[in-house]
Amino acid sequence: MSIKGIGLAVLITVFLSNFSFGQKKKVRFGNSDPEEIIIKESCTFKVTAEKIKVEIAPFKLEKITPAKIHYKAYTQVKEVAIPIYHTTQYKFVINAEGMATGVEMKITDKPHKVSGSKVLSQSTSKTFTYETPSDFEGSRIYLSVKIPGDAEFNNHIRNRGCILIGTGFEDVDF
Amino acid sequence: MIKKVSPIIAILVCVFAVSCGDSNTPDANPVEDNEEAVVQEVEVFEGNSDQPEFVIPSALQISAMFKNSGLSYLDGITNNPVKVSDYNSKFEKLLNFGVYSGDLFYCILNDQSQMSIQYLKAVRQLADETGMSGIFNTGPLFERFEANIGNKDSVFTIMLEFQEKTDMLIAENNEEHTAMVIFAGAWIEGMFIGLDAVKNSGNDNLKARLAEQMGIVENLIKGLQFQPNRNEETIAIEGKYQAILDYFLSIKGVNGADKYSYDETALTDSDWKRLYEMVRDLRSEITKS
Repeated sequence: MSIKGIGLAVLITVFLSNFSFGQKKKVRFGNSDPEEIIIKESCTFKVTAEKIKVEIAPFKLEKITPAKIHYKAYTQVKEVAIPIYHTTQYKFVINAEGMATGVEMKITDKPHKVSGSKVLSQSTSKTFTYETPSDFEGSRIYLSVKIPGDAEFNNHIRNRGCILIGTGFEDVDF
Repeated sequence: MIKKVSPIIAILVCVFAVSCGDSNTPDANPVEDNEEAVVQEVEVFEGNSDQPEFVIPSALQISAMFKNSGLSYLDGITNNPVKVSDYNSKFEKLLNFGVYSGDLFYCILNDQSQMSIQYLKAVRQLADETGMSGIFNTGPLFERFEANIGNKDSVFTIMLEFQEKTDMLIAENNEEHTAMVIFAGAWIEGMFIGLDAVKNSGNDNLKARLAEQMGIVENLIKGLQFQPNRNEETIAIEGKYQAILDYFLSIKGVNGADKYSYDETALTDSDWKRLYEMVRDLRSEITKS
């Protein structure tokens, strides 16, 4: 390889490297160097899923859905809609052991911001269960979770966690 | 000749290395206990927090509901597992992963042991081809399924495990958008089989279950629209799901007590026929049959 060839290769590589980084990285606080962020993951999917399997009895487990949570500097509310079918009764096991802090959770018959939304169950525990009553008329329930603001957020730490929603149903002619 | 090519190769190698090293995967940390990772801040899209997230029902549950409503087994209505190699793009493969999952549960619930094994094979192949081989590679799931095929409780447990592994893999890899494509495939297959039965039998109980399913199409479409690599193909498919929903909601008197409840008695025979045709056509396009 000639010296010109090497030089050209280096120049093109440097140019493309800079262009690529400039497109994808988001520099915070206006500094020219990107800030180092530490991600702390608290989600314990496998361990928690096993607990849910035990707690869902005597209903048949349908599935376990993780709701991922990214803490922010401020308090936030995350809401999850769960479809309900009238052919069966449901039991939900909500487990927040994969969260770095305590959370407030409530189950409502409509989105929590909708006027007339009725609270069906609520808890500040790490885990709680809810069974739909036999006369439940709605086609969905809504789980809303109040997540406290994270003091570490402004210290370049990103706390993440998850809430697992175990769904069980009965009367399956299997 | 070799000396002249070298700089070009060097450039290509460097560009490739930069491109791979800088892949925008800020969320790709595995979900494990108290894991810490140091990363550089990159832009993360976290969705619209004003919209509730949606828990996708399982294909197993939908199949079970249809079965309980009198849906019987019809030989040959499912997508032929031999067609598993006909799907090319990742989007096609994921949709048909869902279609075959629906067929798998339909066969299991109707005691079609050998067909169940064929469908699980098809699902495994599509899992391998779409980066989800971990579902089957982390344990002898397929072998256990084959060994227990005559034992319904065991098969049910294995299928729950299959679903759990799928959900966990998707969560670990931040591929939630993938789950909605799979579900879209499973949904169209379930609806196709159900509507075909209604067309031939007029089963009122099954009609109610089918109308109930329309309540999740809006979320299904939103999920498809959230795909990171939308193109003409995916947008066209989204449009066809939307057309099915639009037609259903345009039926006079169909709206029920709340936004997602419907009165299936509002549908005339002609409405059911039209709905069947729309679902059949979209299913034919997805499965290439």
